[in-house]
Amino acid sequence: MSEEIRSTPNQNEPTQPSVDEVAGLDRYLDALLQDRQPDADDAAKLDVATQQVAAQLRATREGAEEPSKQFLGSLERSVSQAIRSEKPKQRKAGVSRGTFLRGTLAVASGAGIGIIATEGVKDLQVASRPTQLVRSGNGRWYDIASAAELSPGTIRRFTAGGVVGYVLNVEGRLSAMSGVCTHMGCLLKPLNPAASEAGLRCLCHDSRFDAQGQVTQGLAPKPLAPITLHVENGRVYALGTRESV
Amino acid sequence: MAGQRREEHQQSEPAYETLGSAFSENATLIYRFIFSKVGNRETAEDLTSQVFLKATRWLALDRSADSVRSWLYSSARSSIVDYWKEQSRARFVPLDESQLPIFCGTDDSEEVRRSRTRATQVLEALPPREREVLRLRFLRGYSAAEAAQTLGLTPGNVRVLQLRALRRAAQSGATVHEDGRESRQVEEDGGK
Repeated sequence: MSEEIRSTPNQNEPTQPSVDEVAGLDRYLDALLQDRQPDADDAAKLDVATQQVAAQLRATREGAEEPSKQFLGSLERSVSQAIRSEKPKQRKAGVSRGTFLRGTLAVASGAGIGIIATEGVKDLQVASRPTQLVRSGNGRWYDIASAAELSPGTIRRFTAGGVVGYVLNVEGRLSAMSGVCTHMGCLLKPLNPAASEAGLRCLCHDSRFDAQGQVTQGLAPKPLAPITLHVENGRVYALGTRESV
Repeated sequence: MAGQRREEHQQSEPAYETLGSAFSENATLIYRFIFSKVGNRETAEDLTSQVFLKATRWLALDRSADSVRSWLYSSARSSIVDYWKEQSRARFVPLDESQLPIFCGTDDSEEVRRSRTRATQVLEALPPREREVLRLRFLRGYSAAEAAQTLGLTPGNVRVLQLRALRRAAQSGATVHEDGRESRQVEEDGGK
């Protein structure tokens, strides 16, 4: 028992709280009462049981537990968007290998990603695709790599003017997508290269995206925008903005 | 290909139609449930979004209304547990959800009301002055300074009282559901 004297919160006899603790709790409560997430430093000074009692008391106030209409509206939009981007993937899952390439090109024109075959495509016609990050009329081609460097399994970051993106080689098919999280705009980082599936993750809130740019986890509301690629004479070009930042 | 492209453009309604009712019925319930456990709007909104966005893959398939709801609740519960684990990371106490006074029920539809009742009981059990401070602070939404004025105390007094009160309440909450450290000990031993 005696060695526990230094641990304050669960003692039967309340110890004299320090000035720091007193002020920290007050800020913590102000945050709760103003619907803000309390500051991590203030929270760290409190034991979890105390924080939970505070949370329960906070929720006791009549009407406090009602979600705002604005929040419900925006959540509903994100959910419906996420479900729509889920649908093409499910459709794709049933397609046989033979028709897969054609399938991916079709998807590329919609919610998917700019995908081209590494070999045999000299010059991919760049249609104006509403979901592409940069539209052909507005952009400029940037030489981002040699096709030979991008062996299967490679994922590499590039900049093309004002665009930061990733180029991936998944089983011989090259694709590129935006490298900026659709949640709060942080830059993305590749998942651990040892991971069985290629993908990106956000360092800010840990949203995750798969090799198609689809959200697989987290708060990101939208898939990553595809970036148009073009392979010519062994060089890979990405369509970026005319100007740089 | 052209057909498929057109389909992509008209994607506005159908996929979501089936989910529509599940969403509007459940979003408010799940939000309230989470709010009653985390106590602030920002966190409750974050966690509610997480639950629903995690659910989209699952919800895109046809499910019965009941299974949707229980899936959402259990996902909400694990988000809440994760949140509190994260809050506790700065402390040295490893958390085991069974020791949290906040999780004593799994009948979720009743849980919001029950957690409110518990909070009221916790208040009742406090010494009058501490109880009054917490009432003004939480139920009226007074700042420490405003509460001090009402009670004829200094703001400093109020700040100390509210800390004492919450700690006392946390302790009494813990003893109702057994002391945290003891119950954890039992769990660990029992698990081996």
